[in-house]
Amino acid sequence: MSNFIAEWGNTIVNGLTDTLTMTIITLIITVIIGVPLGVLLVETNVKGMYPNASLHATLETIVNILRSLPFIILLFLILPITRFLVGTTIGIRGVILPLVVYCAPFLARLIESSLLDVDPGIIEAYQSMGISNYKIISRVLLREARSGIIRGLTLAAIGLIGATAMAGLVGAGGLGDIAYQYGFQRYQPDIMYTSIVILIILVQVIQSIGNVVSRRLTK
Amino acid sequence: MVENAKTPFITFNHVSKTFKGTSTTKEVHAVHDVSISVDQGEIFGVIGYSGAGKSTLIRMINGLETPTEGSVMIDDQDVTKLNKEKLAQLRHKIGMIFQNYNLLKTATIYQNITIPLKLEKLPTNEIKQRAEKYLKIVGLWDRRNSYPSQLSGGQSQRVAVARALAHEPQILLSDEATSALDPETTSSILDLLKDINQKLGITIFIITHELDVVKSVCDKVAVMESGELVEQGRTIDIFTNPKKAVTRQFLGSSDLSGVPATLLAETQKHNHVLLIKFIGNEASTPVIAQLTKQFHVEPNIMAGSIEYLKEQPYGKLLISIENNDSYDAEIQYLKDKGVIVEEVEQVE
Repeated sequence: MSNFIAEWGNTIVNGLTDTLTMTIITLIITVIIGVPLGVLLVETNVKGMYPNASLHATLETIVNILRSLPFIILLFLILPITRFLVGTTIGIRGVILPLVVYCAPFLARLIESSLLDVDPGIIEAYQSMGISNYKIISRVLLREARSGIIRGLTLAAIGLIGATAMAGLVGAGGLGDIAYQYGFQRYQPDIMYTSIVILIILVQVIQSIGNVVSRRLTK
Repeated sequence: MVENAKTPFITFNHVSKTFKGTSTTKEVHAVHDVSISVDQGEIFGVIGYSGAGKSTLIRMINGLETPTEGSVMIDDQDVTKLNKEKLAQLRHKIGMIFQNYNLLKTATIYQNITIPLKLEKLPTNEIKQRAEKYLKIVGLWDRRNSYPSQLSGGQSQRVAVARALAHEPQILLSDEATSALDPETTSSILDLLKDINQKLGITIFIITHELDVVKSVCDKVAVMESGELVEQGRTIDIFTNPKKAVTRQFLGSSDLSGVPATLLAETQKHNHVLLIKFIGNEASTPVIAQLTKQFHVEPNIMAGSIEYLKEQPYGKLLISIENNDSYDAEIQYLKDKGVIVEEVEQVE
């Protein structure tokens, strides 16, 4: 046991750090893009506050196209764009953009569905009080949807952890990469299972936190 | 010069609203050529079946809907011509309550009152004072830290009323506010509305499909059907003397108090069946007893009821009088006594 830790401890800690770094950075950018995108999907629709058929159709198409691509394909598909925007296509820096492009449309859909769960009567009530649409969205709609939004974020975070496992292909490291490199390619099952167990625990912890926070916020 | 007539406070001038059809839906004339005027301090009710256009009508008062034709005036402002800013200002002065209360589930009762005021950038002190004042008026101050999910329907509606009042509006719009409540809770909410109207002088505009709502609180009433205004006037006049078939249908079978048609037909073979209506103080005059003395007839009471239209007694009596020679004189006698008399049509 102590031998195992001495031999692999550093590798695993580094892998976990890489996974968490990728997940957290991507999640932050994903929220910055995905939440407004979700709001736009709802509010540019016919029944939204700013109905705009062409904008809505455009957003729908983009989201649907991105949502239909598996991450591994997307990763290679946007390589030129990644190189242009980030300057590199490898390492953690190289993988953040594809992860965001993969995850933001997913989060946008989750945000959209949680916003649609808010009773339209509440929005009407606030409109009847003479409160601006912008304030209604930022202070009323997102507030009422917050429990669903947290559930969506939980799903997105877990989805991201899955996607980061593939990031190893472009040398970004992480637990998934360790499981693949050492476990699968070098036939070292102990290191593979260890990585997998840590990944499972990580997902469990995120899901549990998400559940508790979401329930607290429901009322 | 003395101005006796009050200037109307809310005015609909030949208002129509058409919802354009799409590829899948037909064009809908939700409201057609409606003119209504509501005086300040009045409780005005619009009654009609669902789909009659009431919801569209009430939403034109605060600009949630815009008429395709005609204009809606509040005081001397044309709601349809206001810019965004002016419309927002107007809406601050118009409170609205809904069938589903529309409270924030994620906020406490107290926050439900204060959040809208904060969004309107009122000073913090003012917000606190108003929240306390209006939660006390609706009797829920001690529940201020509860969440809407912990309240009953009636309590939720009271919170919604407090939220509307906290803007200190001149007008309160009630969109089927009691339709989801049981009769007892309904009457407590209606009492609250009456109270608000009397103590705070707020003009109240109600839409409902419930007759009881109109009976107990409305000074004036308008009857709507398929987007058109069928009849309007003082509640007491509409109830005692409905002119249109739809109105009668609405006030409905209650006129004959559920007397079976077969019994009516049988009775009418040898008798005149009369519906007598008393309003206000006449309700206490013993006209039937006097009729008996005067003409030596023996009226038989088939059904009767006394209702209160906003505290004013309104009695209905269904009587039969055996066919006799002095029938016309008897009718005239009753009419002279100031009651409304109509012979019930022959039932086949």
